[in-house]
Amino acid sequence: MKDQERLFLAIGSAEPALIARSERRRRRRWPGYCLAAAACLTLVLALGRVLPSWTEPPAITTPDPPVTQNPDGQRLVLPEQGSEIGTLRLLSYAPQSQEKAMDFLIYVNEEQFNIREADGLYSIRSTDPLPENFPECGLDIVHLANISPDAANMLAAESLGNRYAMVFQEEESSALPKCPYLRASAGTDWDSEQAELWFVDDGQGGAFVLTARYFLEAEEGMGMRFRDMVSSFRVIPLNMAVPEWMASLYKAVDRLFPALLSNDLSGVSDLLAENASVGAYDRNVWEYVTIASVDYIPDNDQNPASATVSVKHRLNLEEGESYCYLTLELVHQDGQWRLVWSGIEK
Amino acid sequence: MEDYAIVELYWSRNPEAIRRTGEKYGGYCRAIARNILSDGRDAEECVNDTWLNAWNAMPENRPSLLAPFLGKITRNLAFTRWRASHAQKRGGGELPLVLDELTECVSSAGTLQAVEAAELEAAVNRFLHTLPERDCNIFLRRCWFTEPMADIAKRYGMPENTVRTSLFRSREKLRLYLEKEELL
Repeated sequence: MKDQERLFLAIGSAEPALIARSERRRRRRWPGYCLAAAACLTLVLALGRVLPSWTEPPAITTPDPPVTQNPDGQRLVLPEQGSEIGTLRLLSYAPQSQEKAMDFLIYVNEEQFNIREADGLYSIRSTDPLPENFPECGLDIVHLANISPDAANMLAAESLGNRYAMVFQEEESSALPKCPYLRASAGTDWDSEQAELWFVDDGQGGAFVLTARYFLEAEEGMGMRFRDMVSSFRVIPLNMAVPEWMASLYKAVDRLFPALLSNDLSGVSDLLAENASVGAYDRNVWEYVTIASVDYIPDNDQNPASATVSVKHRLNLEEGESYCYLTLELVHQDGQWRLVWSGIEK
Repeated sequence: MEDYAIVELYWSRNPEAIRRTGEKYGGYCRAIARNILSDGRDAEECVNDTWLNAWNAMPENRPSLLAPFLGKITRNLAFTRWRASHAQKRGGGELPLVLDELTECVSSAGTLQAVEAAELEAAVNRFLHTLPERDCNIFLRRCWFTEPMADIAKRYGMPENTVRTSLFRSREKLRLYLEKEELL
């Protein structure tokens, strides 16, 4: 008998408890009070859809916008298409798209996800899609003008009640604290659809709606990736003048951290200070990394001479790995930011 | 019917045990056999043989988990049948792929030492306990149930590439473990 056959037979004697454990599919258990709250909520309503359709972009359908009333009785029309305050810019890492003016920023690893835009609806989908018989997984971003995040939240809750068995209006999500947040669930059966929505104030009387959709078993895989991306979401006001030092800092960091995580500094040698102590991972992890946020701390906000940048990220999300931080120390010399030190903190 | 009740039927030598087992675990065992054997008739015969083997084995055994107990019997029967048909060059199913993958665990570092099967089984069990739960589950679905990677991906709701990567890592860990245990 060949060695691999002996090994195969030996594996056959795995403990029954381990075999039985492998039968289980990962399920989320909803707390009883959530179910009760959902049951109450689902009684309330029956309105049209407020959310972007579930169709694969760019074939996005545009049904008549739903009409409802806000808490003050004022009639509202919630458009299915956004982008009424100018051109949105999706800033994504790796390579291509950084052309337009900016309304929001989100970190999306294009090694893992495709990004499409149609009629103001930004759709983020995996580059490694699941078979067709799965519910669609994706993250959509749409801008709604002239509607507050709270009102959009309320409308969405009403509309989702038609589609999902349970709708949870929770206080907030750790992905985007202080933003209205909504969860919806079609149940706890195999492949049942789940959705999470965040409503972000655009600072101009409107709201961005971020909608993550996945199925139950993907909650801790794809769902977690979407939440990480959502936590990196920032609104960039169009009317805010960005100081030169800040713009150049963003620009430098946008080149540096992908290079560091790719373990390839060949394209950023101009951004390295003399005798820079550069460290990150000793291998290319870019393909697997999920970016949750990039935080900038300059030594002052007028004319900083140095800045610390922290890139919150996760490498092996599906194994439940917690966040790591890539820290970059930069100095500002002669109008140019240069990296003097970098390292990984866990 | 609960497992303990079915086991009681076996222990009381009641033929009803086989009917009840077939009702509850026919599909489960059939899936295992079909993953290993490409021929549906061969797989069906394996399943029928499983009940007979369970009948013969039961008085000495009182399995608390009937599914793995029956599944192991089916798996061994199917493997034996596969080997016989493979010798006649009419093998098939998912098993050749799984065996090819397992070759990675033994070929690069040498051959498995001539140890008792029980010793190898014990080492594999210890190894399985070193794996994270998710990787262990994926490894067993592939190497115990001989499931296609696409089916494993669907079961756990993850991309197939993730399954592939997990299996690759687990096989590498197994190879290192066997080396450390001086079984390679």
